[in-house]
Amino acid sequence: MMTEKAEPRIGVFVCHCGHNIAGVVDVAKVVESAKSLPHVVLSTDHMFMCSDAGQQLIKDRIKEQKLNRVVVASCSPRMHEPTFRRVVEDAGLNRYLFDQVNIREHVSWCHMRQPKEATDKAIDLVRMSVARAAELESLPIKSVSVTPRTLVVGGGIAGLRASLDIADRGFEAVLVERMPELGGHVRKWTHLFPADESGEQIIAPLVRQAEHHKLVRVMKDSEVVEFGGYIGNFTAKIKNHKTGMVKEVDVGTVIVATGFEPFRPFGYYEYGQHPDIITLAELQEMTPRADLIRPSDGKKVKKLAFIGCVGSREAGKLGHEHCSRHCCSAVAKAAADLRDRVDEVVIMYQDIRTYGRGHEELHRLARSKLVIYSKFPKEKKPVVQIANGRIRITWYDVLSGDNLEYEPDLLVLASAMIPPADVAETSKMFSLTRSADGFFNPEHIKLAPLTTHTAGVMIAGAAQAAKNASESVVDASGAAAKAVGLMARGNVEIESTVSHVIPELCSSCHTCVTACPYGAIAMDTKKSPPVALVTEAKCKGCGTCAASCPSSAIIMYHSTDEQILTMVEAYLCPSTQTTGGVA
Amino acid sequence: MTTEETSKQNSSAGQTESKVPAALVVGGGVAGMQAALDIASQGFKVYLLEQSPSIGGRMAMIDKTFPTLDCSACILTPRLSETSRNPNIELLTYSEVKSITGEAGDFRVRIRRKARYVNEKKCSACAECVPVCPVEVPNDFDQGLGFRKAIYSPFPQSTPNAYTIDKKGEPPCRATCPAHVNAQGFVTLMKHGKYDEALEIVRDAIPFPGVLGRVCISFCEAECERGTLDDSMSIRNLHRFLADYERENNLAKPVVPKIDKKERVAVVGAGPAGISCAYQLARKGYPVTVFEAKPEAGGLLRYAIPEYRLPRNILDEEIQRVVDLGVKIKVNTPVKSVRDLLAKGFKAVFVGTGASVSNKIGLPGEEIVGVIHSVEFLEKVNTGQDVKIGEKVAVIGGGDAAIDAARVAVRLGASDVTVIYRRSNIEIPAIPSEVEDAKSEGVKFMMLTNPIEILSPRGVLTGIRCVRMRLGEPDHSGRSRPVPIVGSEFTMAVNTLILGVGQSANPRGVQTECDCTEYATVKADPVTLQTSIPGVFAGGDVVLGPLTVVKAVGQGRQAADSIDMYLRGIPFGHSPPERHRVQSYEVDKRRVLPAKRAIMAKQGIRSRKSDFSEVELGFSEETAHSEAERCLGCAVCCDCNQCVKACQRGAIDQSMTDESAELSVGAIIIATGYRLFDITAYPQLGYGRYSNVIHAMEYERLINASGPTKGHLIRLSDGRIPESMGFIQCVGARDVSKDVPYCSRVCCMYAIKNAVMAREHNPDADVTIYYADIRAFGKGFEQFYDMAQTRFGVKFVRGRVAEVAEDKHTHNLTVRYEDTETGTLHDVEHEMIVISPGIQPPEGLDDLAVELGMDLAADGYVDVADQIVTPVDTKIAGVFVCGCADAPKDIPDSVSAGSAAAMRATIILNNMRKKV
Repeated sequence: MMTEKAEPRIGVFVCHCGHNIAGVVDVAKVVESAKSLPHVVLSTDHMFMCSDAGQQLIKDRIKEQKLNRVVVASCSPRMHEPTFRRVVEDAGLNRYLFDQVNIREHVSWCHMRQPKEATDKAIDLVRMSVARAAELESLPIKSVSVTPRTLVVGGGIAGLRASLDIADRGFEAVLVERMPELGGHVRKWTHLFPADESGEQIIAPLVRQAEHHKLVRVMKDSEVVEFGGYIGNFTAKIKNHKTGMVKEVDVGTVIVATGFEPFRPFGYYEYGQHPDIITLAELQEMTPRADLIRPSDGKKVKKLAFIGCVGSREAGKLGHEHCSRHCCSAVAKAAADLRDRVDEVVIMYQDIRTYGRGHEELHRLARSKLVIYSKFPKEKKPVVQIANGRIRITWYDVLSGDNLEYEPDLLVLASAMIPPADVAETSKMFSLTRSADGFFNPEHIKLAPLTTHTAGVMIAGAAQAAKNASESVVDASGAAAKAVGLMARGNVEIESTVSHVIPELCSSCHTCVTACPYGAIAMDTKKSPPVALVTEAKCKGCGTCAASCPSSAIIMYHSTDEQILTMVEAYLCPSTQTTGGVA
Repeated sequence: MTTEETSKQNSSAGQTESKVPAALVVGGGVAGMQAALDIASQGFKVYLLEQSPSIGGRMAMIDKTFPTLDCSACILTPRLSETSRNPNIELLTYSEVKSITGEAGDFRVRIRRKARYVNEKKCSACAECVPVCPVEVPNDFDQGLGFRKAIYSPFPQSTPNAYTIDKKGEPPCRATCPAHVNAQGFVTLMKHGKYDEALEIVRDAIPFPGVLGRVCISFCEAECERGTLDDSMSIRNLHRFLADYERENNLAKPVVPKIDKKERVAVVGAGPAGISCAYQLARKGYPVTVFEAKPEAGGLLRYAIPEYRLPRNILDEEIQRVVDLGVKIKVNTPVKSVRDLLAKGFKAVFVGTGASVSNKIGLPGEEIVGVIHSVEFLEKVNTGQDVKIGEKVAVIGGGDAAIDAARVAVRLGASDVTVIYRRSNIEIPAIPSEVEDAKSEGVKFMMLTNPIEILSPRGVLTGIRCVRMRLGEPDHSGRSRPVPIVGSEFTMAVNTLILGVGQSANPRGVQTECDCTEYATVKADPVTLQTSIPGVFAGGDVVLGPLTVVKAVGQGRQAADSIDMYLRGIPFGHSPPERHRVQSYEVDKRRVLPAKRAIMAKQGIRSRKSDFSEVELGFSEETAHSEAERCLGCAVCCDCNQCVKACQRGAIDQSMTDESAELSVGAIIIATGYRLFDITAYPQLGYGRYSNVIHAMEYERLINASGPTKGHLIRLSDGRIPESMGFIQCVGARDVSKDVPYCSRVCCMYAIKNAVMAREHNPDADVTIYYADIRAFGKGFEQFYDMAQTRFGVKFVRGRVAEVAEDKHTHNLTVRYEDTETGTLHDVEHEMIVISPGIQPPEGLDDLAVELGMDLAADGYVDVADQIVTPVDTKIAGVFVCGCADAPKDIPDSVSAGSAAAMRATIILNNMRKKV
């Protein structure tokens, strides 16, 4: 923190916002009241402070009156704080020496019918802001450089797409895959809806491109074993299982594309008790041949059955509450394809979720091929029994109201997509949070589905939620765009409104370390005793640490105790002698 | 290893089309914005083109988002400002793509930027203009549920944060009027009782609101779009009302001359053209002198039009206003030479001497006693001279002067007056209402008849011999040529014969100093009205031949504009482009209730026949108001300029025109979104017939705090809070018979969200969703579906709805459906029904595809090159797709696709840079 302590010279600029503010608030009175406040050398108004004319007014007055603090009373800072910060910067002031008072959303709009009270409130808020402004301090404008290299974790279809996009765009990608081969689940699958090609056919060109691309460094049989740093400056240690060698790479950004795992539904429908009860994933991995052969005895399957929602949509069962999204369409595609090779196909389902364009058509295709769909009730699932080596399913068909039974030659369970077994470790390694479905949480579920709360770390594909291959690839390109955006700029500006630990006051209690939701605080072991240290690039300025610190050892820059308490004091003691500060 | 410098683009625009590669994103919804941001963040230039006035797309209309119930606007707004602030993104709102040529890495895109009529940089969205705007139209942003003004901002967070004027062009009434009177403008202001401002609009165009309010032939009414529904607007009578209202209530403000220019202008002739020209010049500040040969100003208005149509005090007062403006009128002052006027120091001259010579019919006996030309007859009467008239009067001709003469003859005591016209009552040029009035006053009309001989055995008129006519082929005027019927001659007895067969310019008139036609009319430039003598302009009948008052007034105004340009040294020839005339199909007539044209009260026939008091009595304020209400407001913005006066920042610029521009881009991203399925295709569901059946987007606006009800969920029929609501799913989705075989993907979830919101608004409401399958497939969706049932008590019924019926009294709705789980039929009553329409490819996507040389899929969506490997690449290299343009998608999937399309596009942009 800088400690320049020139006498504050505060300019107060009150905006009319047309009639938006001035129609309710007596702007002249607000301007007048501000004139008598301590350190205020100028108080004025303008019809539209955000307009070019208004901005020029602020710049001119800063120069004429040698202002070193600026208070603008106008609208919500959400829209125009960046505008006014830029204005004061243009006039040579540090952007943090500006404070905005919201007298529109917080005053004129919500107290439209009480002009007097609204004016009083505006006066109070301006007085508080002026008191705070006197305490504001310049903060450095910091940026960190971004290492132009991306670590892509997971060599499935998402990881491949992301790596290739980054490399084609001219940046380096380090693609880490723990299996001996790239291609993930897609490579193993024979039926990849909605395509008519096999997974192998689809993925092979991508794998080839990745392995030959000059800018893609493929590390197979490898896993990230250690990861640290902050946006733009991460370091990962990658261990090769086969050689045992550990390599360290510096990267600026990370894409986690660790995908999913097909749930192996032991305990459901006698799975594991009979070789002819398999999962959809296992069906898709069977070698394609002219006939569908059952695993138990190699005989041709005549009667084929599917059961949907196995390990999915189970309210109250953690990690299995979600819909696995891809299975309905995949089952419809598999059933339609296999219907030509077997005599009869029965699909037992709870709901048919062939959502979106192209998927409903698969459902319709299956129906047109006389695949039998039978709906079972959510609360009364089918029962599978094995008797004399035969599989026997009994269930209640909702639509006909009948109890039915069926003895298929092969039973396929459409089992859930769940996170890989080691998702918890991955989550910890990259400081990612997880949602109830067990997959990683995006930064914002609607508008920021690819970035995470850890700046510089993106997620793509089924690492984020159950998804099909096409959707995963969209994510992958999108996550690549996020990574490239950071690398192309070369550096990122980081907010200076971060927390800071005063080492002398730190009692090494670790409270802040656990309180920080962003993993931005660690113990600085170089000090003795170790004290808490904030990685500013990771800090979001939320203040949780400062609030929790029992030793008051943490300062929140731009929201210091002094800056907050002086506002409270200015509100409670509206004397012109208010100087702020805490005792 | 590749490192890149931070490309800090200079914010100063106008640098030569920089070498920074650029991309075009078509569509400013959430997907398009995301794509633009992700391209811009790499330092490339992005043009973000959006057809509506604001970016934000559909998401801006939505109230809450599933599955988190985030307020849509709250999470969207920061994204809007981020997009608009990004120095690498150039927003092209209110714009459309006209053509695309070239290939990946080198596309040329021609775009049209529609005129906003508001300067984006100056406007601060203070909304001062809104209350003064008199035009209200259904608010399309609110799905037509509420109204907005012609000047509007779609939603409070609109970006750019500038207003837009919805102006379709020039309404037919104004485009047709020779004087360009802004009829829609003054009529619209009349709806709000703003008579003063309305009259001001009339007076902007003409000095004669009262005069033309009585005698105008009203070309405007013939073109009035309202006429295609029931009757055209009574436009003429409405501006007469304005003038009457001002007179009767003594509201006229004193006219203050503002003559601030030095160049003197002479006007020859104080008829309608001359007065109009002088008036407009005086308003522009020129000192004007009008020279009139006759003892009084007014020309034919005074000397030809009878008093019962135009009381002289009206004419006098309106001419006096022109004098009050600083115009000098010198009567009894014939002008000998226009060149003399120029020599005397007048810097410009306007010749408006009219057509003062009566045409002959070319029969022997035209000069005998008892035969008189209509204009001379009328002039004598109008100047109070004693005019002898016989018992039996025949008037030849079908123009206004002929009808006037006939009606004057009635008033002078003739017992038998017959108008003889050679064509039929279809072609007759006189004002139809005048013909009707004449008939009701006892004037007979003998159509398809022509005089062939004047009978005057002893030098005294005794009768005429006529022949019957039939209509043949059209002549040069486009009218059917009358052809005599051989053998149909007959004789009729008359004592007075009035000839009303037109007027001509005086062949020895002062205008002949300029180049003239063989008819002695001036050859003036049709646009500037300048004659062969520089600085001398002409207009009115002396140019056009005898026509109508309003054309003369119009040419006076036109000449005044030219004289102004001439005197200011502005070269002619660069007149502004002609404004688009609003076409019939552009006028929204869906909600118009039939209403008859107002009829003006008239004096009783008996009393009016006996004197020259005014026949038409004017509109009452009530009648005028209800007549004004009938105006359809064809052009939406009525050019009343109230907003211009209200805007304190001078941001409104009515002179803006559409502009076209060419962009050079390396890649194009299609993010054109979707349109809702038109659910009237399912008439059995009652949408459009029953007011309490609405669709989901209407519902979004209804529950939105910035919507038409400020967020109060009410029934449209009676404003009551619905206690029971039904949501109907899969309407226009998964239906092969309606060409929508696919699932629309978002409807299940938005319906669940809407149902939850219904319970939030009214926790006691009974809320049921009628569905086929609930497709809660995305992250957090299943949990949300579960929560809707368990926590919010939303009922889910698996059943397709067969029909919705309305109770005529309660306006409640009975849903008939088959519960597909039980196979039973049910009838359930609800107070409101919300239909969840499927979504379809957006309008205009096909046009864009044509420009790109791209084949759309059979269902109208963009086909991607490879659904699995390159799901955002289209089949055209360099063209990418995101959002709902290639398939229905929810918000997160659209956003991901936006980022993905950006990634793919920047690979091309980067390769372009390498080449450079």
